[in-house]
Amino acid sequence: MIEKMSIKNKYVLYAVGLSIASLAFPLFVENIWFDIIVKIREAVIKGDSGHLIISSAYSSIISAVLSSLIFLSSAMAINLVRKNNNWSSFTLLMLLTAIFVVVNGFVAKVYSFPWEPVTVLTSLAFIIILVRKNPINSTYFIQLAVVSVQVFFAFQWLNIMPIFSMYYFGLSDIPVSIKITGSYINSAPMLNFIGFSFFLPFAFAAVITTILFRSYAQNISIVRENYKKERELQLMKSKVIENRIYQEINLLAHDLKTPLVTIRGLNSLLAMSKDISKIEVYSQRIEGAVEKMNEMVSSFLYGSSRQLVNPEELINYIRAQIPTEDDKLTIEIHYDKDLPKVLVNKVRVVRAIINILENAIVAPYRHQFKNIVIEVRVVEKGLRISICDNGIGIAPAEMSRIWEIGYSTGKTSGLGLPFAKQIIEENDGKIDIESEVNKGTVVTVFFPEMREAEHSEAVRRNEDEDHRHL
Amino acid sequence: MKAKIFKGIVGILVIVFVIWLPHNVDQKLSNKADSIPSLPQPIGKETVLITSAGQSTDTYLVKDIANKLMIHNFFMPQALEPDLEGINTVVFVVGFSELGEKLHGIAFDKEKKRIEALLASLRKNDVTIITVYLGGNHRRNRNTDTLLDMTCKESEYIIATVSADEDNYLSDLSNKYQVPLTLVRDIKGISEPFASAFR
Repeated sequence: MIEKMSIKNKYVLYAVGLSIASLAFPLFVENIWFDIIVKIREAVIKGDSGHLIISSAYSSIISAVLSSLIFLSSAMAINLVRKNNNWSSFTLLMLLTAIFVVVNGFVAKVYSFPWEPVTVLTSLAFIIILVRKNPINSTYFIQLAVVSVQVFFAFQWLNIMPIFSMYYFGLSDIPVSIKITGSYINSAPMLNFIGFSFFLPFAFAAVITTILFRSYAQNISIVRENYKKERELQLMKSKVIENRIYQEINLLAHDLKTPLVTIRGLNSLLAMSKDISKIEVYSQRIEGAVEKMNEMVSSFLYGSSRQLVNPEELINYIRAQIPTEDDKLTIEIHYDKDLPKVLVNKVRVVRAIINILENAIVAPYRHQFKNIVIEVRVVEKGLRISICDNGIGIAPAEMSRIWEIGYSTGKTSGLGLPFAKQIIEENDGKIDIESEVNKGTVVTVFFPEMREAEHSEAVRRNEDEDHRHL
Repeated sequence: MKAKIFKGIVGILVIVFVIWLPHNVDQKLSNKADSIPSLPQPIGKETVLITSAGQSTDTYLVKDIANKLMIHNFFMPQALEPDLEGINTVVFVVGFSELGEKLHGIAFDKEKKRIEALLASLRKNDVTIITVYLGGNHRRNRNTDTLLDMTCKESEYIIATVSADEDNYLSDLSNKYQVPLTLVRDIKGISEPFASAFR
């Protein structure tokens, strides 16, 4: 409210300031008119058309400045009226014209200022045509000022052109004197030429200026719109990621049920067991299940927590997630013997690979069957897991965007791949994707092999961490 | 919708106006054939006083023409009665200029009184008076017409551009006061009738 009041006060101040300037301006330029008359006389005496050109320039500048001041003060006043009333554009336009004409007439009458009704009204119409579709923003009045000065200056040059006399341009004292003198000293064609030489470039400049201001306003509007959309997108992404975390928690809770069922089962057996020798076995198994649960909870809670994992464990875990109800889906798993152990956060890495697998499963395909091949191979300095599908592939143009959060070429959330990439890189791994349209996609994941020393150190750190967590 | 209709009407009116006007002006010019091309015999004698009635810059043009025609003249845009001594012919160059009067620090009423006083004195001394008007239709206004009426009434000869007589105002004055009138097509054409008044 206070801001609105201050903007309104600013406009009132501008309107008053410009009105005062409009009324005071003729007083300051009175002597220039006299100079113009003297120059016209010199043109007659010396037969020099140069004096006429200078007179024309002075006259055009003074008249253009006054018309611009009156126009801008009228526009400011109309802007204030527009803010306070709900009048139509047509009414406001008529009001602007009326104020402009009345003030011009008043100044001409009081200060004997030569004014050209046809010229200023034509200029006004031209300005309105130019700026009527431009949005009213913070630069609107700067634009009006620049365009109005250009247009009024351009049209003032029509006043000294003898060929425009028949259209009632240049009927006031000074233009008539210039044209009569020009005709006498054989300079009428030159006046026509000079008039056009100034009119055309300035009128053209006014058009270009308007277009530039319009483009600028449009660009600003687009940038603002994009910024707004970007913020909305970010908000949406953060909400989606939040949902993803809940989803992961649900999956973990589901996974935790397995060792819990084991513990419950063993506990029942313990209660019923009369064989003391088996109690130790059951206790060890319960301890194993608790250990597994602890490992899972630690993996989930602490991203930095890593365990030495046998890749076969990962394979089994992944195998357990494969859907069996789809008859058109076949998944083959091939892996080498003696796979090297890797130091990773098991729960998270498994989730990452399952995300990649899910993407491969939902990828559209044109073959009769969807075939997915998972290969786990020993490679130099590490372990390579590749997931290959026979889907429709990804177009080269889309490849650069597949790691963006929320970007999806199909029906997925667009979170799977970025999530997988983040997890794999957090575990010192690398992920790469290759795809060929209508042939399929291969996602390759690499984890570095653990050396013996690193292995022991990792185990020790792992145990320390587990104790700390416990 | 209302604005579109308004714009359409204004556009059509402007086009009609632009097409009609030049054609109409040409027609009016072609009708001006009742003025005489120049005087059959001189009416004025040198020395000539060239003065202004309305303080427009047109006075300087007549002075230049007189100089080019080698007519001995004094140029006094604000001449008063004492300046008439030794003057045989006075040329009034009529044309009201608000800025011109302001430049000389006089108001229209004062200018009118100056002209009235000059005319009264000229009438008394039987000095030849010639009225020249170069302002065409654009300088025609109430003040210019007042000055034209004042000077033409006492003149022996009127010279003007043809565009000044679009409404037959000068022709009517010529008929009313029985003063010969020459209408020239453009300002450069004034030299011949002006010379005919002296030679």
